[in-house]
Amino acid sequence: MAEPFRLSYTNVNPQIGSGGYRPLLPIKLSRGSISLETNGLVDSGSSLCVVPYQMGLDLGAVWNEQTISLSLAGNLAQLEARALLLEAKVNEFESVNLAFAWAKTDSVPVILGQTNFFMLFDVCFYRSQFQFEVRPKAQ
Amino acid sequence: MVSPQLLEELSKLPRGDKLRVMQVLLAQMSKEEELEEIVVPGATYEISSFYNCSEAATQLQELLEQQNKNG
Repeated sequence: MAEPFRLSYTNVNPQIGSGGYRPLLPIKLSRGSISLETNGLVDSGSSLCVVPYQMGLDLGAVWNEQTISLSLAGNLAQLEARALLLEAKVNEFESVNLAFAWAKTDSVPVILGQTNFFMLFDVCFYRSQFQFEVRPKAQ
Repeated sequence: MVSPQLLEELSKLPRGDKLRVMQVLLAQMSKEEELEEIVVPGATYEISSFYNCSEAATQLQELLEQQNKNG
């Protein structure tokens, strides 16, 4: 079993003090020959993984070529999203395929949610210590 | 603004009850201060979780299964 990758929380909003810390995971996303490095919010409350619009474009995706439309719920119901498969590499772990909802907005962060990030990685949160750990699921 | 009527009522209380009122108010103030250390009043807290998107999650899962089948 791989050793866990332990990281510190990042304070994305110092205005709200310790409430501003988030588990942001450095992740390399690739589509074909194009790759970019970003930080994904590890969000166990999210049903799915999300990538913002511009990032999809930067990875060479074309909106009209992504034919699977996704229906989002609640206050996000009005947001258009298309399915986008990306290769993802976390730390030195083996690359995996992640299915993202490519949202037609840039007002969302990269979100790593239940489908399928949490299906492939085990995550432990140590919020009181501002730390979290990620490792690939046991084979 | 504390009403004079309230102050008058409080001043009529026996010593033990006055102490009890002080204890209750101090405890309440302490809790409020504790809360304000955790939650900043007036600050904006963003919630970006895409929760309850089970239909979309199922679609993505099917896409992954198709991808795996295709090798």
